[in-house]
Amino acid sequence: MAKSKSCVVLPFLIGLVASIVLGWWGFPKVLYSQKTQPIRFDHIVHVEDQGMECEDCHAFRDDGSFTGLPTNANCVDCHEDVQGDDPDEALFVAEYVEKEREVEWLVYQKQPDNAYFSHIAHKDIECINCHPDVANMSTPPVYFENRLTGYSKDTMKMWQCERCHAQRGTSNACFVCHK
Amino acid sequence: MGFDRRSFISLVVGGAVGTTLTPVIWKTLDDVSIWSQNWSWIPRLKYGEEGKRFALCKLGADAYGIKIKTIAGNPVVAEGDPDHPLSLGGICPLGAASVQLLYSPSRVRNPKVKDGNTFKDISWEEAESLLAEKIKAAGSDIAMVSGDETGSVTDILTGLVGQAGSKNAFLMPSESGPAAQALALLGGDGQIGYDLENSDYILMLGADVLGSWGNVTRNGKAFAAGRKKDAQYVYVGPAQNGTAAVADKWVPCAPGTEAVLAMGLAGVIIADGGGRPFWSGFSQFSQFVSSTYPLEKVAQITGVPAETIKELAQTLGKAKHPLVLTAAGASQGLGAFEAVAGMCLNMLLERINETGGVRVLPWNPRVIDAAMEHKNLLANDLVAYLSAIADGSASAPAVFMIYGANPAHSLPNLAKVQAALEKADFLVSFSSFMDETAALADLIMPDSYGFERLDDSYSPYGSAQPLYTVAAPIIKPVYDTKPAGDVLLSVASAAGLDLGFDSFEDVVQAKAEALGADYDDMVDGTAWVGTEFPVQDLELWSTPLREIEAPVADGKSLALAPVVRLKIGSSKLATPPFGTNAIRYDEMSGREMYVLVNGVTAKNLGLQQDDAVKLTSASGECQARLRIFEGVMDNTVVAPLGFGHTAWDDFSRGKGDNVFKLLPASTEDQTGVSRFATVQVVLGKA
Amino acid sequence: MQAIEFKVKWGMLVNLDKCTGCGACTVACRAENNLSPEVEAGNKLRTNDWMNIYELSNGEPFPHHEVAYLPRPCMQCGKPSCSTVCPVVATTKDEEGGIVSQVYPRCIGCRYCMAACPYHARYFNWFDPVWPEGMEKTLTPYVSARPRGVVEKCTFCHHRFMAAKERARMNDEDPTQLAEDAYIPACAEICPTGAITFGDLHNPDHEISKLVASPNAFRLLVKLGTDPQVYYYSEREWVRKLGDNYLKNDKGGENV
Repeated sequence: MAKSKSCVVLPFLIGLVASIVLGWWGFPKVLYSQKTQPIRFDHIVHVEDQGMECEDCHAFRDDGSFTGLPTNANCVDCHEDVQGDDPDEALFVAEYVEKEREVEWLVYQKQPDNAYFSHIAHKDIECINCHPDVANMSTPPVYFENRLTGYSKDTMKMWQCERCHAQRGTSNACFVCHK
Repeated sequence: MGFDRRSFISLVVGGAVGTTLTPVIWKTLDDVSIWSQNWSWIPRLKYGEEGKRFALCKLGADAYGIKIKTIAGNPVVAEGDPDHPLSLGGICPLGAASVQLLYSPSRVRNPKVKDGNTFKDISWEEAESLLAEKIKAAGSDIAMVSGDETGSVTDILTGLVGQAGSKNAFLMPSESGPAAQALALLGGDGQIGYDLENSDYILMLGADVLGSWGNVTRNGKAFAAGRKKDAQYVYVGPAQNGTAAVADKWVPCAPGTEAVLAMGLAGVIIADGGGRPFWSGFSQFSQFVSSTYPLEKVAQITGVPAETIKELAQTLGKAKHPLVLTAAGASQGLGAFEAVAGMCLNMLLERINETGGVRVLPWNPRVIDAAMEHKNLLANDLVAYLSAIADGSASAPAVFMIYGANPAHSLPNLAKVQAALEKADFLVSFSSFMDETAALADLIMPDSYGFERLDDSYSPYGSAQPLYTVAAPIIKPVYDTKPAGDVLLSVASAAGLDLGFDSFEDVVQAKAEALGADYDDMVDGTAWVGTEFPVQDLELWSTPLREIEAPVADGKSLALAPVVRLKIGSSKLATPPFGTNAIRYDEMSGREMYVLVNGVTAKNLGLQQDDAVKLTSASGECQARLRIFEGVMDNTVVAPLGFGHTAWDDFSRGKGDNVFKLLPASTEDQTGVSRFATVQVVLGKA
Repeated sequence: MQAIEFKVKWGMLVNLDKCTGCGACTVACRAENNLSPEVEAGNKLRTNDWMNIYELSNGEPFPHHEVAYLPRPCMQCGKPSCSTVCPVVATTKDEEGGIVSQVYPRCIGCRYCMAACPYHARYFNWFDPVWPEGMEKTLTPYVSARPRGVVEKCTFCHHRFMAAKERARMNDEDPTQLAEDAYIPACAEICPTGAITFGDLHNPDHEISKLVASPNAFRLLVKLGTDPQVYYYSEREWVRKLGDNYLKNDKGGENV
């Protein structure tokens, strides 16, 4: 009986393609869990319909710090009671305003405690350079949480900050960004 | 073609090559390293708007305004208040630790009633009705102790006790009692204060001005300002401490004999022509001083050489605005006649109601009719009362309420004090913390912590001007506690003792009104400062003075110099969680406290550095380690107060020993003030 | 070793003729910088004391004995021994202002920097921080909570420097030219006797630049060439002389 030749090229290609597909498609699917914000905050309702400005909720305080995601105190001026007929708003009033609980928003740009970022030092840069453009969205985008680290998929990494600093000539000293 | 091992290997190799072309490996490694830096038990920080709220700190003997930094409303850090006259931006070690105490493991989280050997949790309704019932049943057999000299909750307590028909209301011992009695003995009436800021020569006779005496932080600021104006500071005391370290001169003087030195100085000043013969009482006074306190005798009692006494007297005479501050090293334990001696020296130098001298403030006004006049309250001696109960010559009260104080740990005649507390039928503690007294109590009704309630303070001892401070609560109580002021008013009313006020806030507002202070301004953080001082007509010989009892050296025992270091704690507070690190390695070894003697003393006793030693006095004994420190007088041993806790929490329990055990108290004739600043101890190997 | 010259050089001057050793600075530093409370703080080889106070003695017997107290933060050396030995560059002196950084996520805990620091100003987290229940609510947002295995040290309250720059930007001021009272570390701010002065050593308007010029100003262990940015001041010669020796009551490294 003649010895049959082993199949090596095909398995190699199968392995190659399969691992590439798994690596680029399968791995993120496994690594990231998908979450939604506790309340479907509708920017379009607030910005276009109600004519609010960004600074009404996201502003610099007197000491130069940035409010970031506003607390309930910012919302209750209008939302002490349910204003419209959106079920999410009703949920907000019932579960958060009345129970005096802050909404545990999922932060797309969540950074570790040891990173320090000063918004006012970056005030000349467009918000959407680093943040998703939620101002034009009725529904906040899906939040992809890294199951291993607990951080958001969109969390910027150190090299991204360093690169921009280097390009602009801003200091890349450690303590400029660490605490 | 077949699929065999070679194919399989080829498949795997293809997979490996492909994997390197994906982010899998690098991302996993990176993520794992991040995962390893995010253990769930490492706390995460909370962010939010930063605020600054005004608060009152009463953790030590002082009561001063501080600022609390808050993040999203939660207090995080305490710092000084640049606008408060007793802080001026500074803060003491206890104030700096005050925020973390909010969550101290020794906080009492809800009312508790004694159940056998432990406590049972009960509700506030049950606790209040239980106490009201006991009070009703006790009639006039009711007593109270307060550690809060300056606050209005004490007025409510004295009012409650007074309304019930009892006079057994007491404050914890401090300098205020002897000072008030001293002023009365000299024909005056009011609260003694000191204008350190404007003095150019401050003679500290025993007073640890920058460490624990009076308004510590304010004193520090006054000292700093004084240095800019070339003011001089002389510390007289048995051992070097923080105050001595920065003073211009240290004059070693046997502990508790500083008042005798004052008399010696008076004698030299008079001999040099000081004082005025036409002053009322002057001739009797100078006669008394020269016969009872000749220079050699003073030198022998105090250990201060005659030459030095003369030099000090001369510099006092030359200063434009001298000020003499007389106190025991631990700011408690001197009798009224000793305080008189210090005052007389200031009178001789014409420092009364003068710039940079002694000020006499009006008393804390009474707004509750049934409350005791503050000066009468100060005249009641707690240690004598408790000792009498222990000895059987006075009966223990049916209801005994303790507020803002820890007598079961921080009183002289400690064994008698503890016995007396045990004898009380129903002991109630309002402590926020599980201190030694609360641990003995039959009922604990935990007061909310200072930052969780409205708090007020009128002119803490030492204040140069009448001062009223009110602080609003910064956060809601974190545990199931209630402000004692409101609880007491409610209990009083339930027990049929109507004090005329519905809430503590009403009492504070009434007091503000009585003083002419604006309540809203004060709550916003602006303390009220008064400008009126009652005119005094003091006489050096208004009451005949007597010889001060001096300690007798017997050649075997050493003079004990108990000292207070705020970072260790105070009479009402054990070492706070953040205070443990401030205790140096030369103050505590492991869990044992050091007592200090100099090399000669150690050699005479055959002791060496780090020896385990025992101190024994007439009232008890203590264990410690020995440290040889040359900043101590011969035949003297320095021992720190504030250790030896048996309750509280792991931060303070079981560390060191309680030096109060070594302090026997004797009662001063005529005034009834307890004296315990001149104690002899035997020091030997343990 | 080459040292960078910064435009701004943050410095501290501690007046030892005003320090009473009370410990308020030690406590305030812990609260500000999220140092965890330590139950057994008696073993000084395991404690974490960014600001540590030593007792100095002139070594004379009674009655000629004199005492002084010396608070010791990180010296923020001009030529730091620590950053030169760090194998992973977790500590560097590369920021304008001259504060030596300490980056916790990069530190591998080899403690080489601790061996190198002649001031014993660096501390290792032998244990994970333990916060009594509820007390973690008093953590400030200014400094991250460090896990076990990393080294830490005083940073001159660097977060307050960053906050001062934010305030300056908010008020349209130049963040590189801060006013004297814009940035002050916690210890200097709260000292009851005002013993600690803080400011820019290169700025003639800041009080500290005048104070360090005094002949009574001195630094610790200058002979080692570290060029510390923390100065001390005393009119007492024996105190100044101690600046270049190990502390008299230091027993060869046991109680550092």
